[in-house]
Amino acid sequence: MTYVLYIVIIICLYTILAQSLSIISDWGGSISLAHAGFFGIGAYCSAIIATSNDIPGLLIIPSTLILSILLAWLLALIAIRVNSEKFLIVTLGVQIITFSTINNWQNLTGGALGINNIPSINIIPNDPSGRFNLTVLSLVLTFFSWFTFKVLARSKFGLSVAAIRDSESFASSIGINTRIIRTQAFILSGVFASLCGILFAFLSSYIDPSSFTLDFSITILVIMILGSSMKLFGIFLSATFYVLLPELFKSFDFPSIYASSLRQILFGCFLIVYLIRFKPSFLNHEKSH
Amino acid sequence: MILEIAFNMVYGAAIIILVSLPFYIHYRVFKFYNMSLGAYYMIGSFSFYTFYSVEKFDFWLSITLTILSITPIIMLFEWLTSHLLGKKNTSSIGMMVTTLGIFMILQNIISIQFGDSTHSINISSLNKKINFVGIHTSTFRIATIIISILFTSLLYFYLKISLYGKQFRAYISNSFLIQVFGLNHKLFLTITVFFISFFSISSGILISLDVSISPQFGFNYLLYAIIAVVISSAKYNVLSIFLGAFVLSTFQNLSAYFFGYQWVDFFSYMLFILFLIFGSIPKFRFVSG
Repeated sequence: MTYVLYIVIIICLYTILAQSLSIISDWGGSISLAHAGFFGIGAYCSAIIATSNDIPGLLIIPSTLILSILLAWLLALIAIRVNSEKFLIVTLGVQIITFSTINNWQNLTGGALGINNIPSINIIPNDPSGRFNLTVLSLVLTFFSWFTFKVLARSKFGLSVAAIRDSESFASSIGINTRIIRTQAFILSGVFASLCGILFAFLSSYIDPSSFTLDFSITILVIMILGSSMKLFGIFLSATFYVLLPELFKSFDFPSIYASSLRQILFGCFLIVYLIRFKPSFLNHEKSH
Repeated sequence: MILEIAFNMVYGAAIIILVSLPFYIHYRVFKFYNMSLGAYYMIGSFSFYTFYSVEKFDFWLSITLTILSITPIIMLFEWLTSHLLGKKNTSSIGMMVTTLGIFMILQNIISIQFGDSTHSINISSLNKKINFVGIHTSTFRIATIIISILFTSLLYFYLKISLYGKQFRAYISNSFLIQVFGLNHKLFLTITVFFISFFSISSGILISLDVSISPQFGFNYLLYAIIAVVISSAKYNVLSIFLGAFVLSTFQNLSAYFFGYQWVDFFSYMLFILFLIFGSIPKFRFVSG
């Protein structure tokens, strides 16, 4: 039963991560590979505070939010100066800088050894592993993010982001402050990714830098792209398929040591087929109009 | 000590130049950042490892077989992205994401075949340690520096005086117009992809002769190539890659000397982001290519 709850939590986390990434790409017309960095910031902030005797636990969420807003704001500052192609490379660099900091700042993050003995959350009693608590929190966060993104997509903010994606010069000419809107979009995306990181830290009770690599950013990007044609629900389906694929391999007696790599190969193939066959105009908004 | 650091800077620049050459050619012709180049370096090195260390072929036969076996694979993937997606007017971002998919596939195939651990190619019978003017190095490192200078010079002069070079310069300035004037489009792109394959495989082999290889190493070198080209704004001249590579290598070696080797990537990408925001080295904007 606890394993099933674990799968549910992971599906929720991947869904929120991919949906928050879609704010930058599907709505905003850019691609970011820094999402694992935001995820890592949330996880490490919460882990450091939760395992410290000197820092009150109530500071977990505020400190995570402050750091992720700061990083997202810096990213936005860069995004408004470069085109979308270079922005992807910049986010790649930011991801590597974040990973490098997590991996090498041993005094703060434990370096490659990570942080262990992260306590579990026990808001709902009689849950020794904390899994039930985290499942409830993950589901609440998933529905909250889903509701937020759905409302925002139809709001003035969402329409402004879409207008900037389609034509920044036109959006600017009709009075949309493109800098502020893009900054807000990046911050919103980064904040949700960081909140996922908090849940992940308490789920794992041990975190190390290997969970927040560039590979993970690419994975979230692929999940987002493959699910984006059906909007938020499609992303949920894509995340579910990604998480459950190794279970499918197990049912065919496939060696589990190869399951993860095979999953990545399959998703890479799906991505290529999807972009070539079904969506060759990916992020080509000006030409598609 | 200073001479050793200087030599390491030169060697580091040589490696960066080697990995930058295929990236430069690709970007100038196809006008998008090809993320799968990282995988090409990797499959080149692992292929050589298979022929030389596993199958125990002769050194030069292993190099020949590597080039002959990997070139068709690279050409196939290049055809997938540049030809298939190019026909559908896919944006450069769409092409970049497709190449990320290719990278995922190739990296995980290597991971299944060879595992995630590092592998070394034992060339002690061919590689002699030498010591001159206080610099501890090896014959292969000196050979790499010479090969790097040779390849860049040959490419520079070939692009300057050959018919292909004229077509190259014409194509990158106006790819449509040059076809109107009778350029054999398919032949030109085939030769271009062959150059990209050859330089990628050569880079992979030379890197593998000096450092341990793993499925993850190729992407780092691709990023160094991107940084070097961005720093030098090498869209103007292949020789300006020398400057970008030297700046990056110097920065890396100084970072390693003052802060430790684990912080090299951190400072490299900080340098990259600064150059991206504030512009490349101005002088080389006036060097004709």
